[in-house]
Amino acid sequence: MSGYIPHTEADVRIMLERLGLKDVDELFAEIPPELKIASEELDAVGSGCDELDLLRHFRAAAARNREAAEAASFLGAGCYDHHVPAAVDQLAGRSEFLTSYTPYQAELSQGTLQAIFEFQSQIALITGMEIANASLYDGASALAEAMLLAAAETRRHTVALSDNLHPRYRAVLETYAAVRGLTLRTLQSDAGTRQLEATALAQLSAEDRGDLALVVLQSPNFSGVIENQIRGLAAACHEEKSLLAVSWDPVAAGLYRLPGDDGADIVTGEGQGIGTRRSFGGPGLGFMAARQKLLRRLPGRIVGETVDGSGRRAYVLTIQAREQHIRRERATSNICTNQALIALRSTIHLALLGPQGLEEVARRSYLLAHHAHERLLESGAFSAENQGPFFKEFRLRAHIDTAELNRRLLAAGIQGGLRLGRLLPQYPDDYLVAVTERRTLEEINCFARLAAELAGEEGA
Amino acid sequence: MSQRWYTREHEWVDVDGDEATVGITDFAQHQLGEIVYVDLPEPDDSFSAGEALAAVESVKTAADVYAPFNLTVTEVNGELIDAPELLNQNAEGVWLCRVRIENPGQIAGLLDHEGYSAILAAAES
Amino acid sequence: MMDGLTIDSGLRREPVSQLNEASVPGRRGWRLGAAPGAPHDRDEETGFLEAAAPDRGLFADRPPALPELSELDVVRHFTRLSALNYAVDGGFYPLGSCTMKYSPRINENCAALEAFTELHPLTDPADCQGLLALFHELESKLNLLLGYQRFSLQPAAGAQGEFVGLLVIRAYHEDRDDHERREILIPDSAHGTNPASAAAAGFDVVVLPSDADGRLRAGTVRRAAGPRTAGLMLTNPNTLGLFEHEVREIAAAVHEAGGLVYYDGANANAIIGRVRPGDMGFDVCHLNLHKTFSTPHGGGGPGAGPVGVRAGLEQFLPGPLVVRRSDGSFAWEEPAQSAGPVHAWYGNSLVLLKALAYIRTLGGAGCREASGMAVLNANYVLRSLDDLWEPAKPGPVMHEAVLTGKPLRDRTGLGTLDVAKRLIDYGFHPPTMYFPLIVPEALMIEPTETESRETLDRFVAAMRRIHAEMLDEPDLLRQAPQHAAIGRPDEARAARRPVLTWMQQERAEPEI
Repeated sequence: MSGYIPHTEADVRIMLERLGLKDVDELFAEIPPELKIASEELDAVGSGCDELDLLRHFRAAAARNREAAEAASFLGAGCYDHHVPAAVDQLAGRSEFLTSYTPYQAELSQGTLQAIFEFQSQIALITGMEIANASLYDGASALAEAMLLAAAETRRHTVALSDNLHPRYRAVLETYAAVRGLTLRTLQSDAGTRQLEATALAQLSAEDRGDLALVVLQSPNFSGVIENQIRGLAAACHEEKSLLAVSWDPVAAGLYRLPGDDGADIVTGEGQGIGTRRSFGGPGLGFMAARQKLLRRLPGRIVGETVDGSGRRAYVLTIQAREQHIRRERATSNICTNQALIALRSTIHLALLGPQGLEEVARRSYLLAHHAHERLLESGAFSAENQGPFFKEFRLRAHIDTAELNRRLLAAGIQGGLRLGRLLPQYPDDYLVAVTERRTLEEINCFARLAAELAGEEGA
Repeated sequence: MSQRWYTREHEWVDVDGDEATVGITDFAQHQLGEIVYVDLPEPDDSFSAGEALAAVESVKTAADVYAPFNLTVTEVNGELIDAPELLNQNAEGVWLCRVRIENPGQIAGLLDHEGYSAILAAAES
Repeated sequence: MMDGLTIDSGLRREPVSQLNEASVPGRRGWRLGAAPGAPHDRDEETGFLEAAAPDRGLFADRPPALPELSELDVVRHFTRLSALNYAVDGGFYPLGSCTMKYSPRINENCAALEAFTELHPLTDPADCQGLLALFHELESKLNLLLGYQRFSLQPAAGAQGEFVGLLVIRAYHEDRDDHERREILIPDSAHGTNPASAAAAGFDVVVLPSDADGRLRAGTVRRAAGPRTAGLMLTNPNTLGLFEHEVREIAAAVHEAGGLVYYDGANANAIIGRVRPGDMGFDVCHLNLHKTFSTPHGGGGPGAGPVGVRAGLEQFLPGPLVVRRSDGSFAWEEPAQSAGPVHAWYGNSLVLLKALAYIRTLGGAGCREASGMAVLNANYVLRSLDDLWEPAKPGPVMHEAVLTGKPLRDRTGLGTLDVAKRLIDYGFHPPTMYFPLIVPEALMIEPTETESRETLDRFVAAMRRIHAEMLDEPDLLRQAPQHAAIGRPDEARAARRPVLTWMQQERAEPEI
């Protein structure tokens, strides 16, 4: 059915003749006959289709998501509706990038290699760190890799996590920790501000502090609050001979002090917000930046600059002796593929934004989020859940049925915030609202109006 | 006066009383090719015989350097951090680490020059 | 020339300056206008300073020093970079183990529909039934093609799939209170990810030797398997392109010892529609959708590495999984004893959609035809070269042909690397080199089914020409490539004095 297989009957005949075979099935003579499946067993897979049919099928499925996808979204929780400039799609869609392999053959991959080198440079700049790798799968697994890195570097086994870490990130860390014999502890934030205090390590037992490999926090954290004690926490960690990792929203770099400048040892994060649409959660973009001294322990690919035989500038995959294809069971990580194409998207986007564009996006998101915060509090449907400083996302306590609110919002073309109980059942009344530069005052006002209406009806 | 011993893993060991100096042989550096990094232990680290003590990396491969006997590291050759290529230039004259021998009985398991030469002859044939 | 060969890599040869070198202070590539509906009585700057006053202490003095470029600067930069890349769309890419088949364009269009790209992962399931239905359809088709009960679509790549598969094996033993099983058996011909993944999942690796024919023997497995064996990882056909015909006996030996058997699906393109890992006795498997099911490699990701399990293991998969309810609607469900998630969401959703588009287009019979042509192409290339390059092992191959360049190196002093680099001058991507590790001077060729006989003939002609050059004009190989974007790079220098960012550039000064 497809036009992807070029062989004509004559081709097959000529090729089989060369091999001295009568039919294609003979090529599979090594497979024990009783293991082979009959063609009929494949009928249930489908009979194949043409492009017209295929598009009909996917469009029909798409129609069933359209309302949610087209809505003006206030849903965030680690996946954000930032604008993607047109040039990102057009450039990253070039088939020279799209259909090439991991750049093992440097002579044939200078485009991808230089783009990764520039990505590493940008990531170092927007995290305030010295080095970065070529990307990882997503923000959650990047943080898990940071945990493994720290355990290897410190030869310790305890990792302390902020209670305001994204719950799915925490779950991924738990998966990795369980198989590597690491113990996870939780550090409680201040209940009023949802920020981790510089003295938080005192919450750990002396035994845990003595075995502490890493402290993990997220900024802005899962409540949307900017952590303001990174410097003090970094110093406290270093005092204990442990490391500090921050999971960071790169968009925040347009406005806030960088975690690297405040002393973090590892900065990871989800880069989806710069250059990639929400895409039902994937592909996203994990990134990892670190201090120079951790170079040999970084997971994943790293690109370095060098020269060729005639002295011209060239780029290669480097420090490869860390990697699985050489070190096998002693590799720093089992990662081979990363998210090169998504890293490219982010590289293009940051190149377009420049410092001023990034600042504009961050400021606009900040302004609109703070406006929305004010309007939603005024609506009478919510009260503030905390007093911490937030960036583009904030956490409210609802006095109304937010499921009903979200239904009404969707009917009005708005995707409401996250009912936190979906991820954290202990907070059934909390509501997380994200606002990016794509939102308008009109959308925010409509959101607040519908919330106020419902509050009125429910007598909240 | 120290005496030079060898291991089957292509390391050389100069034993002097209860102290020793460890390096890799010329054969090892040749097999590895251009050496780009040497991962050295920290002073006071202890290793059992056969444990990976250090690692030597070239562009496309990496090899562990194994502890020839139970030992404690007393000093590492920091010069190799910035100039790993010294191992390519003069492997049998550039040391990786100095160690204290914790179990002298294990020295008996090492090869002398003649024994090591036999191993090399076998490897090359 | 008669054989249609030209000396040209097809790539641009002028270097492209780095973004930071082209930066001009004050230049803009993208800007945000006034906020729609914003009050006009004050400008945004003033409004911002007022609103943000309490948070000033958290702000940086200035944004990061990213390069400043115009939109056209950026467009030219990346367009020029693209011209330095070789890609499947530009030419033959016979990279063994990587299955560089053509990525059909229609699949890109299917996945690029806004109703998928603009969908938030936490959208209420009732509002994204279309996407959940497609996930369910993909899982059903994978179950049928591979012979499994359930697939988790979550792993973002093959290596993460391996990791998840091993977590399932671990969870299975722990569920049985069988805590002594710490070892994973892996043949010496395995992909490097297998031992790395086993170590990442907390297991000890026991390497099993292949026999002289390059296959794993059931007897070897029987001797190695025991009460400490958690499982065995095997790819079939193996990395030598050979079908492991004792696979059932191997699986039985592991099962008798109480372990589980894992199928590394990296080489599944050879067997789709012919034989199913589930039927061969593999309890758990992962697939690389970017290999077998044609999603583009993207210069190294994003891929997708779904993990399939036989009945009785599905409760250990990472969650959530899509289930179909009795009323025909779809919902998320958390497996009862999940080994835990490995991704913040559901994996690389858009990649999954592309793979589904491919499978739907081919259908069952088309998948079977694809593996047939992939194996035909590999054997055709092997037969066309085996008088000049010695096959690594005797016997017909499956989807890839492994040759050894050892006799030629002994004769000419030129290695597989030199052959590979010279292929670049003829406009071909080199095959995989020096892998599998058990073959000296290995050259691993995987043509895939989407390449025509004419393309294979041209590749063979180039290889034969290079063979002649090895004997007559060896310098052409030693100096190759001469016609690519760069000549051979100094990899030792890159690793000894790493320059990994623009800011580390001063370290790139020439060595004394």
